[in-house]
Amino acid sequence: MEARRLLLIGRWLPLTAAFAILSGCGRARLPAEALVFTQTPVTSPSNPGADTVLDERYPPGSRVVLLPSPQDPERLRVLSKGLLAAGSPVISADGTRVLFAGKASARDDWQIYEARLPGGRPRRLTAISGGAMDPAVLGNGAVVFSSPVPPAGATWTTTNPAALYRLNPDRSLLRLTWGPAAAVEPTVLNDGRILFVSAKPRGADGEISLGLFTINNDGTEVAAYALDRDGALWVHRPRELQDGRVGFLAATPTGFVAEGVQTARPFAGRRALFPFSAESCRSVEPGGAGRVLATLLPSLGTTNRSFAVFELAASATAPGEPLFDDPAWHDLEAMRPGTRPRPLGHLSTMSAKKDYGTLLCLNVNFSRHRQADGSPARTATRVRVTALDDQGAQRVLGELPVHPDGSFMAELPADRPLGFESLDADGELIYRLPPTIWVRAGENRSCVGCHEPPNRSPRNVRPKAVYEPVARLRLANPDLASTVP
Amino acid sequence: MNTPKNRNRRPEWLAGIFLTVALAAPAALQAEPVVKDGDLPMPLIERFENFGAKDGIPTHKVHAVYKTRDGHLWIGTWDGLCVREADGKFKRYGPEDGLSHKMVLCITEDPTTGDLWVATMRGLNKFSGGKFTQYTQTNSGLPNNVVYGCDVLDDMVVVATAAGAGILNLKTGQWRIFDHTNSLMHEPWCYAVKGAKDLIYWGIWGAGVLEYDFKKNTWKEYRDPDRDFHYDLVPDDGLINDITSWLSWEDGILWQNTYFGFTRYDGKKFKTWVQDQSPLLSNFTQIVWPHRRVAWIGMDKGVSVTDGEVWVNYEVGTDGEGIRTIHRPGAQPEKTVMNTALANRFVLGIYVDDEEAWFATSDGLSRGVYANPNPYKRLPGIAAAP
Amino acid sequence: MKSRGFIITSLASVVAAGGLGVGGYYWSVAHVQRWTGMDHLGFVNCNHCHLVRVEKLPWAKERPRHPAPAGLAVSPDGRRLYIALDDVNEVAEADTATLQVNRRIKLAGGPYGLLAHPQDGRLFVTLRHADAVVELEPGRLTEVARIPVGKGPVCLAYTRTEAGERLIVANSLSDDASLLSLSPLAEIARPHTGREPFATAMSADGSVAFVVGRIAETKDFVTPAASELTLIRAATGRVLKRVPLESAHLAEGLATVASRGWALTPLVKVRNLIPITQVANGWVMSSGLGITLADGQTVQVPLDEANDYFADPSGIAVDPAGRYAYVVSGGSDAVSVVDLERLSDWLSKACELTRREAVDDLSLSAEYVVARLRTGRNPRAVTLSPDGRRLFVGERLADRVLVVDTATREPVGHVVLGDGGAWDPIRRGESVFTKAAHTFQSQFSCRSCHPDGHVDGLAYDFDGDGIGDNLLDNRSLHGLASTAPFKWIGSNPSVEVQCGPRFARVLMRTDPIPPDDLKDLATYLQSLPPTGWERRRDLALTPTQERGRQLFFATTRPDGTPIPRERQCQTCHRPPLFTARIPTAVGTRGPRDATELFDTPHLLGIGYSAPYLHDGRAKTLEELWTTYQTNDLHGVSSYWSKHQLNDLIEYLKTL
Repeated sequence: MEARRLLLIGRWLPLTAAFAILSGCGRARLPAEALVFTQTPVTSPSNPGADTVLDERYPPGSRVVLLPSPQDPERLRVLSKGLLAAGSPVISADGTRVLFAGKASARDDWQIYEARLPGGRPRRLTAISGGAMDPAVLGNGAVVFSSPVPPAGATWTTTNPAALYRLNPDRSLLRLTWGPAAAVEPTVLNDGRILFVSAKPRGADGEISLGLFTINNDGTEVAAYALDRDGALWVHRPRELQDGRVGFLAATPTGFVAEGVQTARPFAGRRALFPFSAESCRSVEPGGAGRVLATLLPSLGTTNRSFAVFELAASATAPGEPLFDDPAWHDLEAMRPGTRPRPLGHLSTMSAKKDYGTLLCLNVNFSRHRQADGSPARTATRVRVTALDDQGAQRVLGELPVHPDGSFMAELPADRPLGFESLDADGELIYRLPPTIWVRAGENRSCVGCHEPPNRSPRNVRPKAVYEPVARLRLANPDLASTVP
Repeated sequence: MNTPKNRNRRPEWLAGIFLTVALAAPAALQAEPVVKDGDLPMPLIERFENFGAKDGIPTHKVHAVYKTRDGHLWIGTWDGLCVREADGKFKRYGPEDGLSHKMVLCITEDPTTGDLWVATMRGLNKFSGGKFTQYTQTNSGLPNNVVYGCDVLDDMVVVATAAGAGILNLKTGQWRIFDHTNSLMHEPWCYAVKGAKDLIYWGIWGAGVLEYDFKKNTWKEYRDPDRDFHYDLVPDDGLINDITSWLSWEDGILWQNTYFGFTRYDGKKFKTWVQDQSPLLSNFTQIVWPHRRVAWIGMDKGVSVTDGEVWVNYEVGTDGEGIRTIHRPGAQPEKTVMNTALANRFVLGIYVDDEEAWFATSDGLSRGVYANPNPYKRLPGIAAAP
Repeated sequence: MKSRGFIITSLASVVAAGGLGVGGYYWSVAHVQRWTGMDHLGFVNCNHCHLVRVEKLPWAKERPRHPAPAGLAVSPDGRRLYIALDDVNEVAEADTATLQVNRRIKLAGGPYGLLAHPQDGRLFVTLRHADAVVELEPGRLTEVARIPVGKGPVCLAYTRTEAGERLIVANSLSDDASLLSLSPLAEIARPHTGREPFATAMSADGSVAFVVGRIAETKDFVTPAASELTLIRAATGRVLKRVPLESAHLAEGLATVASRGWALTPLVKVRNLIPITQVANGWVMSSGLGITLADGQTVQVPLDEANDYFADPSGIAVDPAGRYAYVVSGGSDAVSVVDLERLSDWLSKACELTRREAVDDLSLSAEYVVARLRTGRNPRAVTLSPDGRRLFVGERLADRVLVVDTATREPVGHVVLGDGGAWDPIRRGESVFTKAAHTFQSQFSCRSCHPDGHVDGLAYDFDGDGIGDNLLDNRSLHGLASTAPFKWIGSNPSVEVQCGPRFARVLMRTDPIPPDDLKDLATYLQSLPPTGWERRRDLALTPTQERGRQLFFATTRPDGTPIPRERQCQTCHRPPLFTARIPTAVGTRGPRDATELFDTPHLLGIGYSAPYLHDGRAKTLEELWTTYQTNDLHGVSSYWSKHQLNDLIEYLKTL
């Protein structure tokens, strides 16, 4: 009996081993120089029938590939096999999975797919109405993406702006962002926050201006990260590099250039990522040993008119020879697989029992616009809180008195855009933040001031607002008149 | 300066001279001739400079005065602790700056660290490097918040409070406290304290003086042997009275203030004085500051200065004039009317050194300017103890 | 028949056991209620009051020792590096060229601070546990003189004054400094300093000694706490000035910049008055550099960045030219290189408002921090060679000293003292404890609030139970073994739960500490003895302390009236740990507290862990029974005289 058992095991052993190897459990590690990137056909640079921004970006035939060695293009493997188009790859922290946006057929929505490395069939993860794009991966393997996929050219004008979502390992879905503008192109920072692109409140000129924002992995603590007042108009694809910078693409009339801000002072020192100029850049990613992987279209004058993959030191004065270039394809969005620093996690402070969050402002009169001695130009004595209702109309939730030290605290409805207006003693408006930020259910949120200088930590002063019962503001009766400030 | 009288009859021209001299005498009396004090065992004050509200002192009542080793002058008032700044004005510290109570009763200095110790009606304070640290009966081992006196001796701060005596060990932070339950005190109202090398003296209201040997943990009591409240029945037999209002010690001599006279004790013999039987201005003595074995005594009627033999009194006349009287043994008192006077006759605090003397009074602060600079240096020798 | 008998017997046994169990349960409840007088108590484990033996506790047992570098000093000729190894009672001497250890000498008493005489190379060593400074002659490193100083000396500095040579010693446990003359080695003065003085330095002209306190002194929960920088006349010991480092604490290093007349001290800007609703933007704390300028003004500037922090700054060294300062961050395993020229330039252009707000501007450090050097685990002490070309960084939890070429800022090697102790779970746990990477953006480590496992003297407002509610005093971790539950309301049954996911959620704002690391952390924490335990445990009580002990254990008033059991000190503070680990109401509930029942803290080392009560309102032990006693709920004290209160305090300080 024992011998029969052993024989049975022995018969199945090779198959088991093969399965394990093929499934990646006992996978061979990818070499350090391996690349994952997107290829879009050079011969169909535009897609006139593009319905969505992804159709525009990734025309049919676009694919996500793995190249184990840039010196051996024959070994290139298509990870998005079977899909009409694919792009926007991102690699999990453990280096075992690639996630990307893909479209099965012309009539399907773009959804998020994953494929196991070093090579497996793509598997659809999302089935969200309107489609999904821009995947990113949290430290615990949960996937962050943006949905719906906006119509081509309408990311910032569509009436159904994209929001960020989190797909948990158990397949539950959590919406993360609740602002009025689209939230797209997320990436996960090493500290666990999600960095994404969104639009700032429009100025008096009505122009759209984009910036970089962060949230925690549960959508709490929405905050501006960079590009607040330095004129950045259109930005894409932010990525945390390993050299103390966050790189991104900034639009020019002819294409995109690579720029970056220092993580040490993200609101200052925005500058070109490279000392040289390329005609266009389609991505920057962290490379090895503090270098940057960039996909560039070299400057005019070269014969090569396709994007290629370059690996550059920060001080590189010229792109040099590409790491990989297939002239038949635009080689874009290149990154290295293999284990990368696992982003930190964040245990959520949300509470399912609540439908509100609490906001504490330490000093509404602490702002960028002050007199030489630091006192405010005008002193706020009240704060009016506004919110967008479910129809998108702005409503006044109420007015709060501001304590003598400028502090106020209020419970505010969760998961809807909130705005704040500071008012002086005569009721005149001082500063306005249109409904832009939000609080999550159970979140305790704090601000240093109102339009305060960026990256300011608070003074160690006990806010008087904590000594008083917290004001409770709820969305007013929808029959009440809305207000347009 | 006194003019000897001429009793003999002389010719008319001599009478004229006499008349001239006699007429000039009052003028001479009222002038302030150069004082010849070379034979006195203490400096003579030739004038007073007075300070009050105009100088930034917040109140008229000044209880204490002290000059620290760095030359700063501190005063304790009814409304705060003040220090005299370079421009001559006084800067005030009050409870808002960390002082435990505005009513300051005593000031002393740690000679090593320069820390100022300030006794108030509600707690003891250390003022060091610009910062106050409060010691109260609720936050420390201080026996009682009403701290009348304090002193620093080696690594100890010693206090006299309304409910006992205390010693704070500055190195260990430990308090030792004494009252009628664990010492010879039979009531705990301690009015004064002074460190004296290996001993500590406490002046107890109604219980004389207690001497404590802190190394041996032994006590010795000094009482008025007469046990009579009002009279010194037998002079020099012991303390003049048990109602000790203040005391001090210096160079082997203990000086005791009472409301019924004054005592000197050199470790062997007592000497007592009452106002009617000595040059002591008043029995109601408040404060004594000994310096080079000369006691400067503050009373309700002014200041007496004595080495035990020679006395110099400073009073305030009915018209507010200063009156200085020198009492030498066996000689007539030498009275001088001064152009200036103490700010007030009720003297509550004194500080004296080789350069000057300061007096805290019920109506301001006075500085006594010596007639001669460095008066103590010119003395061939201090009057020896009897 | 046999099986039936078996069944019957079994059933009977079960019933009997059940009966015993139920009976035992009710008996034990009655027993607890009777002996505590607390009728509300239910079942309580026997070991709350019985069966605890100190000698069985982890901290009472011998633990592995490691050659962890404490103080560092370089000989005047730059050829020898001296390293104090307090945990193994040794001083090591290494060759700065070969980086080899030449010799190690035994020196009992916990050698911690080191100083080499600038001319003759005599070595002066503070003995942290023996409360003394010893002088070693540089040839054979033999002891030639010894002087007792204050308690817990950790650092010393040298100067020459008009009155002679002087040493200033920071005495971390007695809150004072010892000013010593060298010829002879004698103590001249012992001025009080701030709380837990930890670093010393001398002014360029040698006339002023600087001593900085690690722990801030607090007044109340609305006034920001401030560590103190004490300026002392080096010749005499006279205190010149006490400079509060506004809203800053954990100052563990000091250096002077001779060419500029500056004194620099790394510090932590703690924000304990603000509800902890987040960690981002330095919300809990940030690191900075305090600059005392030649004119006496102080300015604080940040060391951290907008999105990265360099937690637990401690040692600092300034090169001889006064161009660069090197600040170690023990929690982030880094050395920040500060360009003092650029800093000076910034200062000269900064207006008053900018200077005042500088330390809160997390983007500012890029102006003057020119490099961050990575180190091994937990760098604490740092020193430079006399020519400034070599930087020596003590990697305390790696048992080695990193040597860096200051010109290239590249490491040149290590002086290896030990193996790092990764085999020791206590060591591993200490590494977890000091690692800032467990918190969001590495802003702080456990040590940031619990320096060396102890208190920081502050109370905090965690938002998990409501903003502004339930203020919590920081408790010492010393002696916590077998004193569960934890948290002021006693809701965490173990260290693992206390430091587990909830903590990650409300404070660290990251992932929980991994299970293996958490286990090691718990092992480390339980190995921490009560503060000053070694000093006190064999001492006999003085008469004062004995009177206090009798008062503590009193069961009747002097008139014979019984003291109710629930109000006797020994009921809730039961020896040997002086806690029965039962939440109790002692009349201290505040208006914003959710409960009146608070975990009974153990009293071992209580003399060192001010302030007191759950929200830190009592600044001294006395205040527990004067200002904050309500209706004799915290022990019957209304009959006490001041003598008795003082005696009790003296007794409590012996625990």
